[in-house]
Amino acid sequence: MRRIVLLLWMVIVASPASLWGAERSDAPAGKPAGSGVIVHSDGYILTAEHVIANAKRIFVLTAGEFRAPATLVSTDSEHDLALLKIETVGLTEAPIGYAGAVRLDQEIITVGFSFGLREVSVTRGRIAAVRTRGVQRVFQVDAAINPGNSGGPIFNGRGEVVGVMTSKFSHPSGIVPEGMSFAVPISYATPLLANIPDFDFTMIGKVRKTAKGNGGSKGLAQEVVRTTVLIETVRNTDTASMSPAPDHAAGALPKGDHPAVVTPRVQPSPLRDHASSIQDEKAIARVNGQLQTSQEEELKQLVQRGIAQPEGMVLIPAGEFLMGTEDGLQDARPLHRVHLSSYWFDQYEATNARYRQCVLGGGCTPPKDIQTFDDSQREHHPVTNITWSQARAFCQWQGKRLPTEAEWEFAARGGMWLDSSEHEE
Amino acid sequence: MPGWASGEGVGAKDRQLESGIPLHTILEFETTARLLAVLLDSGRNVINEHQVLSNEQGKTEKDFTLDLFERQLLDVFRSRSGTDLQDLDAARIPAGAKKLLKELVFVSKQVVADAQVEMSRPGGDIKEFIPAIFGARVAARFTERTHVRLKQTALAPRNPLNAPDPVERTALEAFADPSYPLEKVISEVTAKSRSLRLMFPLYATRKCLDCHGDPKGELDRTGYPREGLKLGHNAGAISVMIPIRP
Repeated sequence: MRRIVLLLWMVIVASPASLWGAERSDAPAGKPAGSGVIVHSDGYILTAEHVIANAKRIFVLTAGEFRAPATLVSTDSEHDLALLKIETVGLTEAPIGYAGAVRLDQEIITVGFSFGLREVSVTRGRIAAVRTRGVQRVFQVDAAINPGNSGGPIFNGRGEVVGVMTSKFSHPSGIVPEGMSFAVPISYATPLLANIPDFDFTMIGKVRKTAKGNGGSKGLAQEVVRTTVLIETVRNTDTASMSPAPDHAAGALPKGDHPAVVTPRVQPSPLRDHASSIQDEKAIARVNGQLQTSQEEELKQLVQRGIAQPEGMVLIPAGEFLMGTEDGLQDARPLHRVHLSSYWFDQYEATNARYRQCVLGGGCTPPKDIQTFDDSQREHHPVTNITWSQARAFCQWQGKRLPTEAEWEFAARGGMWLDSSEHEE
Repeated sequence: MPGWASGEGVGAKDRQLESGIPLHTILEFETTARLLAVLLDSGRNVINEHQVLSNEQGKTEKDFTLDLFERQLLDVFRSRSGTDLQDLDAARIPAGAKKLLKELVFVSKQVVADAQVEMSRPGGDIKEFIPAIFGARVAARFTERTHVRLKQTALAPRNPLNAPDPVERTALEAFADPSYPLEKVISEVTAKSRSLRLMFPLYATRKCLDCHGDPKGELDRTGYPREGLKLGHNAGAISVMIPIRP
């Protein structure tokens, strides 16, 4: 049965600290690191594939120095590109430019975190050449680029991303001349960007007309810095550590991990462990208590700001949880920490009756199995046999949207986040 | 970032440099260069096939008419590039490419026609009209007639005129690596050079190995030492240079 879970996302305006939870740390330099660029406000980040290759864990650090674990959405190793996602919304995204309009000798701006340091570097350069070799085509940029800039964006004068720095391309001479580097034209990222729901390809190259003169330059610099992120990884250096630990989820996490990654000493969650021991019941009660308190607090804050609770929806407070499993299907592995901002979630599933209103209103098309849908006995049963597109249209009709996978899983786990003692540093 | 706060806007610099060639134009030049290389190599393929036939079945130059050559040239080119030169108007290729490809077909036919005159003289032999000779003549004549330079080159060419320049040498070294993807070109346009350079790899056929194969070092029938090439391995490249005027 296909569940229709609806929710309305609302911005919880708060300090960035509350958006990103408590994960903050000082990364030691020299860790495998690169740069990336925010290409969609819902937490989509474009980087170079080699930056995250063989990574067991990926973390994204935004301009505000807040760190979030990222999942890999898609990769293109041929062109050295990868799309990551962090569970958040409302990020400042970089506009995408039209690579075909990039001119030889044109001035460009490269932004990245050199040597994986937490300080962003902005370098001006020019397009010195366009090179094709085998399956790769790159812009050769005459800007001094350091390790760590890999995966970082290059911007045109209008502040649009026109390329992604790569270190996979080798200069024909075998030695990259000093102050030279390569970038993959952004057009090669199109298949990856197509993974972003609602990505507006018609806006490519049309975001800004011109960045005007003096003031624009400064504003532009701030903007390109804000949309560039640092990417840190924890690599599978030891192949033995790749095999999941048989009995304890946390065992698969390498010891002496990144300081920010606190080995989750969680017991299997009550939802996954069906043994109804008294301990579990206690745990559930404790979690429910925490959830209730947190919900009440956030609701109070929202009311103060004049935001009312939408009818039939519940607030899922911001929090972190462990998503996926270590021993399930491949796309559910590994168990990873996800942070979510707060959001509203429909309390009940969408019924046939409610869906019918959408059909009659012209916002939806009828389900495939019309018999069940038309059965008057099942008016208040959940609507079934509808496609993802139909579900999305239904949400839009109500002024809502479908939840992300993480939002759904978090809500299904009862909005239970990690115990605060578990992410102490 | 001291430069950012200064009065010099990026936009201002962009305006000064609007004469630079945009990537989409560069890609059109690259397509044109690649198609020219494929067409020249298609001609070489046709000549190669006729040599095999003449050796195996005793066919002579009389069976190899100009019409047959053209038909086969266009067939091979169409199957390798997807472009039908008989219906150029419909072909989705750059306009500049259409003109140059037409010219290259014309030159190729001319070279074959001239060779046939040569071969029909007493003592003439189709066997001497090998792909390398065909390619060299077509390249030279095409270069004379257009602004585009075509050249056959290799790391150790028999004809010293075909010796590679530094750009060609680095590409040939890359092609020599067996892991290099088949038929994938190497090209560059630099801000300084103002021209597109493209290298299209060639591969040794069975026929090539008669003279260029094993045993390495042993003299072939023309008196040159054999190169010891292996079937399917890289055997030089076609070099294309198109000047680009912004």
